[in-house]
Amino acid sequence: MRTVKEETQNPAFAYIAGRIDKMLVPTLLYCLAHKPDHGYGLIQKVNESGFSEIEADPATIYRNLRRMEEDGLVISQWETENTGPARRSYHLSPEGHQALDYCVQLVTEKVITMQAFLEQYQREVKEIE
Amino acid sequence: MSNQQTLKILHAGALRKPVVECAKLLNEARLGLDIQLESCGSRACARQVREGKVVDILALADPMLFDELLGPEYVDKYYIFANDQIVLAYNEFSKGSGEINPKNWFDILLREEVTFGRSNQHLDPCGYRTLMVWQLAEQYYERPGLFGQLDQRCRGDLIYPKSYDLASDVLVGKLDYAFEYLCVVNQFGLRYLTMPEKINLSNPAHADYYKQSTVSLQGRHSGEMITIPGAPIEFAIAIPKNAENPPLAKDFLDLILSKKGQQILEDCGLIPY
Repeated sequence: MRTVKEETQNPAFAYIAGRIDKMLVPTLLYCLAHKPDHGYGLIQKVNESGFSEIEADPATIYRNLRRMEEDGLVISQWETENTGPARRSYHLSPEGHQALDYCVQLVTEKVITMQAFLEQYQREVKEIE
Repeated sequence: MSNQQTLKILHAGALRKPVVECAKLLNEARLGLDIQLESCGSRACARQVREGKVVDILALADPMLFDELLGPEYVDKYYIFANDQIVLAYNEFSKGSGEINPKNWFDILLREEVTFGRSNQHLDPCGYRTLMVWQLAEQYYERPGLFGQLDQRCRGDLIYPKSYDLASDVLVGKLDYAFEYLCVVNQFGLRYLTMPEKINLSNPAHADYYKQSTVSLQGRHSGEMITIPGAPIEFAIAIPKNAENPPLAKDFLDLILSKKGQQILEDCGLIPY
């Protein structure tokens, strides 16, 4: 298991950490952890999930997928085996799976912090009122 | 031997710039090529191939056309490679352009002194997509009768064979406004109004909403009519089965689908897949 410090030295992981609040990259990684998919399907899944705070318009999703590919988190290939329509399909690389684990770690830390905030608010503000 | 060095490309007018840019790159990499480019509305392109036109690359503004008009006799595989949206194009002198916005564009278009155009739905996907945008707008803005009003005002000479020519006429001021792909507007450097995502046919997240709009078109056979539902705007490319130079066509296809091709598409205002 990498340490948070090691991970934030990796530019791809630092990028994720800087935008964890928006939850778009974690959601894309999560969707792709289930099965490979193309951008069209990912746009629909990200919107349906409600996890991302960024509106999943095509420009945003494809720009993020291209960046994730440059960072080695996803691998794309054209579906060429069958006749009919072919689309570029994305799947998670081993680095992508590590990135998803890292997202879970960051989200867990945020949840703990927020939970502590809520408990302290209940204890020190709400109950005094 | 001379045939091996010729690449015939038939493409949607909207794809003119990216196709030209990719052709230039291929030409630089393989000197001595004779690359022949021809464009028209995508439905017209597909019909030409059905009627016997032989090309090495066919790039269309709607993937559905490959299934509807060409498969499986002429094309058995096609690549869906980019996305776009419908916008309202105008120039700095277009009447009402100083006040137009996403909430009032239809009221401005319906003014007596304003002219606006669209492309022919039977020849060009931008034409039937424009009709879908009008239908969706009627519902989205809760303006019963809006589709009919817009349709009534946009008749005859205001309906063009292909969307690319519309942009050119907006540029020179012959038309105040035109319903266009964003990539064409970018290629011409026109001003444009972005419509709400629920009506501009851009986002797969709204695919079910878009489906509520339908347009009737001439089908595969003479006299046959088909009804097509609204869908997100996508572009697709294929090597027809009767291509005369499949190896060279494959090189072109690989280029437009490559990282370099993605950059060219993005620079031309498309969203590359």
